[in-house]
Amino acid sequence: MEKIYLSQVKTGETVVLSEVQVDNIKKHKRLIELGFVKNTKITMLKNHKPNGILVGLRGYSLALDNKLADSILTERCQECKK
Amino acid sequence: MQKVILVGNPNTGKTTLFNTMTRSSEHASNWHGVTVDVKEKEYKYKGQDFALCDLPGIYSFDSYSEEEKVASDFVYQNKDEIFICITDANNLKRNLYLFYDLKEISKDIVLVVNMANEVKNLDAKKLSDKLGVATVLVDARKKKSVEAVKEEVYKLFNGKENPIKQKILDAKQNTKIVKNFDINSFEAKSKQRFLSIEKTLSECNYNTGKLYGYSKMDKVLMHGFWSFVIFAIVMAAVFFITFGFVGSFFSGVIEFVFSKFTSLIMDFLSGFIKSEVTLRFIEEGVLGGALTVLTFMPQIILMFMCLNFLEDIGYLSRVAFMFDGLFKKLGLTGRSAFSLIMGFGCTTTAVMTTRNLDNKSLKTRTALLLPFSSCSAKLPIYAVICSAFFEKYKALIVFALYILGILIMTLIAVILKAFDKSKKEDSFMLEMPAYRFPCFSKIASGALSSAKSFFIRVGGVLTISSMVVFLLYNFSFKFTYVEGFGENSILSSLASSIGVIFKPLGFGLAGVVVAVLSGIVAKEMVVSSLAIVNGVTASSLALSLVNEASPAHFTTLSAISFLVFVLLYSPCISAIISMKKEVGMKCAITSVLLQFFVAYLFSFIVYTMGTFIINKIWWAFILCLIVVAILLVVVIKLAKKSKINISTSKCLDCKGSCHASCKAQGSNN
Repeated sequence: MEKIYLSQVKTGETVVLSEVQVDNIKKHKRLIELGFVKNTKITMLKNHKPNGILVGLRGYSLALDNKLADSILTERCQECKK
Repeated sequence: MQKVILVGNPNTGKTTLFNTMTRSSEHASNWHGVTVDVKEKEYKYKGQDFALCDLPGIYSFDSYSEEEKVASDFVYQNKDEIFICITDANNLKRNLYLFYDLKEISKDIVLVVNMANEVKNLDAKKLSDKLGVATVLVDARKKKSVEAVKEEVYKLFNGKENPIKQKILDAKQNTKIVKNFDINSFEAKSKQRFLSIEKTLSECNYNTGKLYGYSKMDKVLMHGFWSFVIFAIVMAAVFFITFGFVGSFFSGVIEFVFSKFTSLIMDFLSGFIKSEVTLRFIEEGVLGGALTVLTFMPQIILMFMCLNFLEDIGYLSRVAFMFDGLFKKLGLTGRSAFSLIMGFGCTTTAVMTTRNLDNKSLKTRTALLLPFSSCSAKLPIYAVICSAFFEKYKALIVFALYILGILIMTLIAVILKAFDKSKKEDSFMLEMPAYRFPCFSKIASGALSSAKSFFIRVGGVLTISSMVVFLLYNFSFKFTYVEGFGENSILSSLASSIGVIFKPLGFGLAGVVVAVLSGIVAKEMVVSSLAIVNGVTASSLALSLVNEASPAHFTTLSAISFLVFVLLYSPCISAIISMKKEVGMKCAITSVLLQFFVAYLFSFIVYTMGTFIINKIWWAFILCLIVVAILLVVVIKLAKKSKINISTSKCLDCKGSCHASCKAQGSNN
């Protein structure tokens, strides 16, 4: 599967979370609590480069800045397209 | 008394439920971080007294920010009490995560599913059985089923044989997470928990009936360009409502009523009291102080109503997201937007909301910027000065002052960023609330509650301060009454010696200096002090300020210079105390000194350049412009020098084409 960072995912595309690469343990933990665990489906609602991204996961929308979006590795999957 | 503790994720409706259960009117809103401290209020149910505690919203019981620490510490200290875990029905998949955390701490929990009317399907009975706690579906905004929550709490309190309760495993002891924990095992545990939540919810036929997404409204409100245009229009509309026709009309009515009321009281009292000094003291010192605040209440209520409306519909979270990119350039984050917008209401409260920011340096810089915004306490000053000099363009001038405040705030942010050594950036993670139809009763009661607390906080201080100012301004050092305009009074003597400092700003008159100094206690004091000095009531103050015979008067230019000074100078005492509490004494002192310096500088620039224009000394005006431009260039260069170098070593296959940061890295290599 092709691996891309969340910041590279296009608006409307759905990907699967592969790995969170945040150095700060508190931030990593917070992301997990927000639902960023392996194999979670994430939909890019709006990739707004200057500000960050707006993603949908586990039934809610979350805004993240570009730096965090650069730290979340995802996989493109065929199943998500369906 | 039995304590009942409200726990939940941010923006799940804790404060709304708290207000409904206790019949109070704490400020609740459709964005996170509104509650920053524990609030407690009693309620009675079936003859039993309960103390309901509203906590700041949290995601888990391991503190991430100051406000979360407040909540988690409170939970651990009171783990033997009864808990109400509140969740948003639209967001159960994530909200139930905290419930599982709470279940490890306590067994006495009532699960409340708020906004239950918004989901298509949810079997509460099944959910209750699965989770092992009583579950109540409510709509706190419409006050539906709130009595059922009280009933369940009552049942827990009485320890009645509850079949649900028996299913619960014994509560674990204090399970506060150790700092050096294994993130991988935590992730594995969390994954299991999320799977379990999904399974439970699907068994309970949970269906929200809608898909989250990027709505048509978002397409406009979060558009790269239009979002900023719309924001400017929205803010302009707020000011035109507050200070335009609506605000002016209500202020006029109140002003009329209270001037009649004051005359009536004074007529009545003059029958008993013969001393002119005592009558003046009652009229100007006591009634004048108390009534000054009342005259401006309509504008303050309108301002709070507009802000509450924008919060309630979910607009302000979008603003925070859209401003994150811009704020990052200033060394802040979109999360600072919460505090900065709150600053338009009250600096003291806004400083408290910096607890949301976990980065110390960011917290300090945000706190230092807050007093530059126009808090509601400055509105009466703007209103009086504008009524006196710019009646036709009142709304426009006030709007311009707000914009000036924002621009100077931006400039200071750039400078602070340049001198910040930590170079740490706070992350921006913000749950985007759904758009909601505004609840007008909630907006109105919230605004009235804020206005009420403003009146209580300010009214008392203002009345006492007015009395003190009156006495100091009308009595000499020998404690004898000073005839006329108090030229030889205690305050005039002191103000005259300081007056020379303010002369270059165009308002060196002792009377105006008195008002400026009293503004350090509370900004509202400026108006009442001006009224006392001129020997008039609030309703006729504007006229007296234009009159050159008054001890405190202005020219049009000195009025503008005064407005700029008031906009920027030292925050009030309560804001300074709040700052000391949140970010330390050093920051509080820095804030006061920085603000005096900035206010003096900008006021001086405005007055000097204005004088050159009036006297048509164009070469001097152009010279001034050049100096200001050079200063701005120096500041921008400083900011560019301090630009944070973000390095990214994670570029997988973009080879520098996808991220700006990768490109930078590529060019460095």
